[in-house]
Amino acid sequence: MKSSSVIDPVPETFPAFRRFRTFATAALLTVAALSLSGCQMALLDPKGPVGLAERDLIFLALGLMLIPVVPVIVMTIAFAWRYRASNTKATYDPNFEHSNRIEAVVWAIPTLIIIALGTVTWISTHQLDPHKKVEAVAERSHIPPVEVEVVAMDWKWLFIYPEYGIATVNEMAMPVGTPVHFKLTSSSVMNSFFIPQLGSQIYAMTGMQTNLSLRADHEGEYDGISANYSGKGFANMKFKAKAMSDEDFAAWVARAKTSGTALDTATYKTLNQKDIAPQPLFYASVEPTMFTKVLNGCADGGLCKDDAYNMALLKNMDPNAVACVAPETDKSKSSKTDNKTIALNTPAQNTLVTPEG
Amino acid sequence: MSSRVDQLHEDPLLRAIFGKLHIESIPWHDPIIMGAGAGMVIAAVAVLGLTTYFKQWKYVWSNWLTSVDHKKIGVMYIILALIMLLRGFADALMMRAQQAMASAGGEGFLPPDHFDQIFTAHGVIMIFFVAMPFVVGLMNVVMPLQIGARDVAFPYLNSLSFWLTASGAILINVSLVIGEFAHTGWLAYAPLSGIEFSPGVGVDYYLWALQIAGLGTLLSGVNLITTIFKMRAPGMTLMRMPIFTWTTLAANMLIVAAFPILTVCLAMLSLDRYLGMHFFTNEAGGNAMLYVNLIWAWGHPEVYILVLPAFGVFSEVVATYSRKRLFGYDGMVYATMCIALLSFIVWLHHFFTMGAGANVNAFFGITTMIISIPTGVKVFNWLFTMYRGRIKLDLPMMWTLGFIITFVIGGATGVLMAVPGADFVLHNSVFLIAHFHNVIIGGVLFGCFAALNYWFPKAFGFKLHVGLGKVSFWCWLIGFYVAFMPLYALGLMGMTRRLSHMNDPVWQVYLIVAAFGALLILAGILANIAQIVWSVVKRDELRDETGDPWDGRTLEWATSSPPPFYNFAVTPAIGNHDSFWDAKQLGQAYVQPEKYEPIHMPRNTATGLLIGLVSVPFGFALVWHIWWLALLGFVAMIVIAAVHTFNEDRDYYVQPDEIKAIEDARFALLKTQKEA
Repeated sequence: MKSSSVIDPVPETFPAFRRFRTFATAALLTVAALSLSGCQMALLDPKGPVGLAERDLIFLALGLMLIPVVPVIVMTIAFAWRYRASNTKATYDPNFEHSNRIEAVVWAIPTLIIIALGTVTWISTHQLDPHKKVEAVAERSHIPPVEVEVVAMDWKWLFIYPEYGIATVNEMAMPVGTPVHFKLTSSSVMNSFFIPQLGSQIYAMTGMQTNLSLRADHEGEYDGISANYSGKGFANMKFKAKAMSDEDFAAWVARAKTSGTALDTATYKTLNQKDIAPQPLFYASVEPTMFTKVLNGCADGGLCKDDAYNMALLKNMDPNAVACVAPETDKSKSSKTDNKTIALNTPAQNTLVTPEG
Repeated sequence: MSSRVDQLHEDPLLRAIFGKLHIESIPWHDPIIMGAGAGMVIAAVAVLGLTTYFKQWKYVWSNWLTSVDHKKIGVMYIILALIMLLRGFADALMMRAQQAMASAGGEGFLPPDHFDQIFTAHGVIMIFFVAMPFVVGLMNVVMPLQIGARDVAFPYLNSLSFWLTASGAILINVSLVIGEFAHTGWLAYAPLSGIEFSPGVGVDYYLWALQIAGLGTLLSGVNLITTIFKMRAPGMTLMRMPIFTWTTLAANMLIVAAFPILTVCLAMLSLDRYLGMHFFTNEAGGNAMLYVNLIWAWGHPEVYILVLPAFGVFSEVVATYSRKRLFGYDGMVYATMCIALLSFIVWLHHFFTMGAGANVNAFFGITTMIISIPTGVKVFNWLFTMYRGRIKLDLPMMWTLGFIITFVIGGATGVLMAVPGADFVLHNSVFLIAHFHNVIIGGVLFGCFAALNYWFPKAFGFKLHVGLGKVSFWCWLIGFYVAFMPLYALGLMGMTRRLSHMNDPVWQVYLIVAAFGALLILAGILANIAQIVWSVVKRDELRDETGDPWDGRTLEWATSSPPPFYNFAVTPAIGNHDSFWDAKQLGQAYVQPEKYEPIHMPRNTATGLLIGLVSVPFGFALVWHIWWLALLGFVAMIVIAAVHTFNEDRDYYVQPDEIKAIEDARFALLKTQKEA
């Protein structure tokens, strides 16, 4: 491409060249900006295999897309310039409206590119499936992966380490080179769990469990965010993901163990209130079934949804099964529907259904 | 959550009369909102006052408000779109200013509660009340002229459609001052939009404004499809329709297929909120994922409802200003219909990160990419239309060239995000924001401005001022790049969307540049307004008396500008999709017929206006739980519609004498033109 920056040879009546110059300047500025802050481009500076594969995928897809995009931009400018009304030397063929050869090419080029990109998509989507477990680095394959249960709350992240019996808020740690298997859910609205430098994000949704597997290959402290707007405190819903050596990780776990507080039903209830958590929190112990209870909507007390559902089923099958109902559900005796049985057990802040209603 | 909505009347009588509405529902202490509200009231009073002062009520009433003329209704749609553009853009400026100010640890000037309402309102307004009315307005003005029809198939329904859309827009603006708007994001994902997490009236405003406006859109879709299928001029087979008419057909088919999904989805959310049902909450087997699927099953086709007509505009413009037949007409038609079909099987790409299996994600990723094939064909066809043409670089053509370059960049980033693995890190980032603004501004909005400059002389009889139009074009084009290229970069830095504040000095640099870009776009919008106002002032200099200022190709240029209310004195016969061009080449254009037949025309009616007006308090009452008023409004609308069915004096015949007088004047004018 010829640069037109030194002298402006373009007559005032024809701004296509000026448009090109604008575009070139914008592109240059962008490139300059990119290179100035290359180290800050979290997605282009991944610290684990998932992020790395995704970065390469972005480059590959972008490269494939440039095959048609660059010629189109060049052709737009070139045709607009060459066939400008004032250029009477250019061929004018007002009835040229069809050419089998050109039409075959214009269907074929995008089709071939999409066949290539589609193949890449099929393979990479299966490789990067968040359900698929990431392997440990070769020399650490004897070390089992770390299991972490994640609860998105209004507006903070709760991490439960079931193997270590600890829980933390807005800070998590992992040993370098060992995969982490996340199980995620939400205690309120939909959020998206995302550590940009490690790769893939995944939604955390109430009553449902999603899975994600990541690995950090470099020590460091990485930003973690919610990438799905969740209300007033959303901008503060951040955490730190710390990748550290095995010793440091053990020390981190030990520090949590000595923090003194336990995450039980009462603490959970306080924690689950709509508020942000300005500082990370640590819990020395946690109820082993806490995550299952969050999934079942009974982490802060009350009847679990699966129990309620089973009871309702039993009641329909055998009216005498009412004897099994826990004392606090007495009020629903007259009700036959699943709806009310469950409604009684919704959290206290739920203004949707009241027992009378 | 907000103190503004927690006030409830203690007295049961007051509650019965006013529902949840309270004197404290108005945010008296918020200077931004009260200022904006006062501005809107002053503007409305000024318009009403001026109309009264110049004694124009009769003219406004009979020529505009009660008109069933498709051209007038189309113009009113576009005026609505331009007014709402100011509101939506004010929101955009506030967002850019807030993020630029609050990105290095500061708090900015907007608390999260307010910021959240602003980005929600920005999205809702720009899609539903700017892009939609602009596109529907264009289709209304142009399509019947292109097919040689005298009006749309159901003129009264058309008026009703417009007034329902306008009433939705009014409700959105009322929410600014009375109560609050939703703070949920423009698609109001459940369960955040449920009663538990959004107890205020904001989501209710959202629901009823969209339901009322959406009904208007759906009716308009039915109307325009019928018009195209039943009212084409003799000889105009489907494969002889101008491309803009084709894209209008495709867009309206999408409207008719997709808008009922939106209606049902919002109705289910309303049932959740009003009657304690659980479609989208976890109780009793409900599931929020249903909402996300339903809203995008409408939302993705919606993108193509907007962009297909814009593609149609570019097809018309590029052929006209290249003075050449459109290259690959058949290919354009098939590409359009391919895109329309495919647009229904890609919706899952909006949430690859929800945890679906790899087969599902890969399927939807690949279907999404396949759309880029027909889209690519269109781009190449525009290029080969320019090839061996004689390109006149008027304003519509400038917008078109700006579009092609901008749109292919947006398309490339779109295909990039269609790869699920890439989307896993780019989803919901400001990279995504940059992408869809790239295609909606670069595609839809540039198309609207190309169309505005192209068809304005057809609608009003004088051209738009070129100099100010160029200022506007360059401000928009450069402003777009300055505003959104930094967002691509920020997305790669890991910045997610909808953040009211953050703490990263590097990001702040980019956000300040983006805010500057928004100011450039503001200059573009001001230049647009100046262009229209100045052109009205200088209309005598800019007058076009031929009806064909650009040496056009399609039928709308065959009649005068503005066209007579009956459009064509004699229904033209069509042999080609460039019929008017061919007629000019063969010397068959501008031949006055010997005699005229009576023309069957619809009479004006105020019914659509009245139903639209009543639907405002109806929606307002539902928002505030004022049940008596809601019931009254509903009954009133039914009664007005029922009374209209007894009105049998709906049409009349224009007599040949009257037609002859109008046409003689036109041909006399043409003759002086030719001599000059």
